[in-house]
Amino acid sequence: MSGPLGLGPGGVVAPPASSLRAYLPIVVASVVLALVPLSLGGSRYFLSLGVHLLVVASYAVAFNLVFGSTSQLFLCQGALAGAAAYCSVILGNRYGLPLWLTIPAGVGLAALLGGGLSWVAVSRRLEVIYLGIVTLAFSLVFTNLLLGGRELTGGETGLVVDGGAGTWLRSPAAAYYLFLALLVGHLVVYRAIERSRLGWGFRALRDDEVAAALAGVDVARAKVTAGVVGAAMLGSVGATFAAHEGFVSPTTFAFGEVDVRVLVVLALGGVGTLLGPVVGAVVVTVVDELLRPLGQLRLTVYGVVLVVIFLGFRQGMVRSVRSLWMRAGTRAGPRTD
Amino acid sequence: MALVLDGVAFGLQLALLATGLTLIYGLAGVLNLAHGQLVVAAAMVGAVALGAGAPVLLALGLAVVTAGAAAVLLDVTLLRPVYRLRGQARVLLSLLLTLGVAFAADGLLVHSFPFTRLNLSVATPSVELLGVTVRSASVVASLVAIVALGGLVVLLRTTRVGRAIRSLTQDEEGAQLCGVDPGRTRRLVFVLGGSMAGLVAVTQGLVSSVGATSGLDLTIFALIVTVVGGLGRVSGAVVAGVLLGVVHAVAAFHIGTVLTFVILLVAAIVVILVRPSGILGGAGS
Amino acid sequence: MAILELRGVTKRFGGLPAVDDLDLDVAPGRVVALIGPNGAGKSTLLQLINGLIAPTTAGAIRFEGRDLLGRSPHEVRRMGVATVMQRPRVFTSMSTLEDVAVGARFGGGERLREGPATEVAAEVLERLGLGARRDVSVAELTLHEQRVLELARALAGRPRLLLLDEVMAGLNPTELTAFVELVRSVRDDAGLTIVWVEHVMRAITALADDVVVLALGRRLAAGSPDEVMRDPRVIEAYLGRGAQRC
Repeated sequence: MSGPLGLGPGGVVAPPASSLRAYLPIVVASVVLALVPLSLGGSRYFLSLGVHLLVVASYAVAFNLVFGSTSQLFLCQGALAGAAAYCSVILGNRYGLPLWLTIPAGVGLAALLGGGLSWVAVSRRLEVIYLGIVTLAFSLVFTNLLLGGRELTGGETGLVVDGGAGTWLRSPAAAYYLFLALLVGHLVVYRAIERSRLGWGFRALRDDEVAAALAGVDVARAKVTAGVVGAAMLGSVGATFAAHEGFVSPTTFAFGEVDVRVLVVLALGGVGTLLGPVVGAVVVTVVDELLRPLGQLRLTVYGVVLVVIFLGFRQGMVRSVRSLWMRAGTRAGPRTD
Repeated sequence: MALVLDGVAFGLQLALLATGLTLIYGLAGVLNLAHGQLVVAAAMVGAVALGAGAPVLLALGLAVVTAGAAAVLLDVTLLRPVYRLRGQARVLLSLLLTLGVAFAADGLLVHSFPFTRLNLSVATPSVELLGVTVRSASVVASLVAIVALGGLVVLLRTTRVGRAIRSLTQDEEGAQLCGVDPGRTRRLVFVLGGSMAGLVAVTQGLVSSVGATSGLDLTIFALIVTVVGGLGRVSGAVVAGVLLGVVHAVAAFHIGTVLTFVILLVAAIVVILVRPSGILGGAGS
Repeated sequence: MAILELRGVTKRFGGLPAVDDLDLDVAPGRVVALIGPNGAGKSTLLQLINGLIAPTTAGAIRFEGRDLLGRSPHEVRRMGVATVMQRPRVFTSMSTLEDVAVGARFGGGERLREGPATEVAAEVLERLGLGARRDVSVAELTLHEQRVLELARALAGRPRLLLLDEVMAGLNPTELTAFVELVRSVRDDAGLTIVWVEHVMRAITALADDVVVLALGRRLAAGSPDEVMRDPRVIEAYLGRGAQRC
């Protein structure tokens, strides 16, 4: 057993040694995703659906880095993305700063918050449950401050975003490729970290923190790094999404809106796998659309999916498909020899 | 003074809500994120029974039994694989599983009972207490909570079952060695914890009302109180419940409910960081 | 000149001293065994040195003249102090080779890249006789093999001081003999200094240069294995130890 606290998959899961094989899946996935709008004829409805898919996939890559790689249960994906988004929007609306300044500022804030949460967790040696509760409380504090700080945040109604208005950012097709680029960037960062010295440290500390520390891995630094990078990923997507939508509100980044979905996406795709977030996001988005007539019962479906995954199907789709493939390969092996 | 009394009344509800959660966590290592949904399920059954013309006591009894039964059902079905794990892995898996259960139940409840509310606050007369006028419904709700909490404490302190529960809470393997059957005791604790949640539906129905969408909020309140009292500490949950109830009432009056909620959340965060064993526990880990 | 110096080291848990005003000097190249009844503070002492328990209530711990107190485990490891724990804590998602390579990559003072770290790991595994199992998942190794693996991971970071915590516990007689020989050869090859908490007397008489007896966190006796075994105070301390559980 490995993965976060023995919940993840068993078996050896090292990233491929050769650079080509390591990054090939990203290339394939991005080519497929790039062709999707063309095959759907560029309908506005499908493009906006596609943007949501890419956004949730990017969030899930970040969660994969923080939870999958270093077992830190961050239940504040939405809040971190939202902090970056609101920071960027408020700087832009109030002071007329351009997006290329406000988005990085938002990302910086998110990274600071994420790193801060990791740092607090590490230095107070918080067990997973306490970090979960602290980050959940952080999410709710964030949402309630948005609701309460009416003059700054627009409260429940939210804010109209000035930055990016009337530009290509608001065009669905261009935005689709922008978010695809962000997703690919996140995947490349994820894989690069996985293959680096830091990634080795992640694997070791995920298996056993004490043994990792005794072997010389700086566990605290590794976790805080994961927190910072993951939060920066969340922030970059959140702030860019706000600029694209032209509108932010507390519900855009609410726990029930973002975190729940990200958890389902990653659990479904496979915690700790490179393409798990993408596969999970595709499945969840498609299923979500198909189940739209069910209304509130969709939540029930998500709940059941989570329960089923964590009860018996913990490896997620990417790994299950891969092991099926490999089993098929070994069965076919002797015949081809 | 009126605010403080209001706060104590609300705090007793919180205590009732949190003891169920903390009892189950302490004994089974399961932080049941579907706790609020147990309350809602009970409330819906009660409301439907009342709507069908059932006598009040029967309807409320059904409500409490529903929550207790739902909790024990959770224990003997979905949570079974959880008990094969120990320590952190158990806590994490139970957290994720009950989160899934919470979503599933929430969707189902909101879908099935979009407009149903359990509302027992039928024009109750007001009474004078310590020179303050209070609603008698609130007094009754508080009395129910006090009796239930007192009963629980007596059960834990004086009976054989209570001793078994407390010894398992402290040291699962040790208690097993000394002949305590963990499975049976755990089922009992789920019944107890679930029934406490069911009682919350009743008392909340008395002072205000419970609707299908209240689940998540109830769980969050239960979590905050449980954390401030120290995860797994029944006495801590009672003290924290009353304390936070008063804080809530006073703060809500002066600065509004939104910022009050923020204060409670921050209190929970601070307790985790400074005194993870809760306000009654010793400092540090 | 001692490679490891302890001066007045004290650690209390809730008022009870686990280690009480302890002085200890370990000369380079020696194998020093720490023995004593359960609760004597032996494992606590090792964890004070390697940084798992920090900081002490009082006192100083110096390795090669540098202060160890207040440093985290990975810093202590990178300074040249490696630990093998009683219960093997292996990286279950890794192969044997990868597990040991973690020690090579992170444990040494210099930063090794992936390739050289794997080479070092392969070399150490070969030397400790686990070369044939290098591509097996560590979860499939026996207890004895996992101990050897932990020793290999420790050595892969080229330590100068090795802390062993009851590494002979649970081994059968054949494995015990093999493990004693392994530790001896490692010591001879690398000129390691070893501080070693142990209950298995056979292993101690075979390997230890000096024995220090701890009881209630204090030093009860010290000397060569033979001297210590005959010391009446030591015999009493061991016989005085009571039943453990209900």
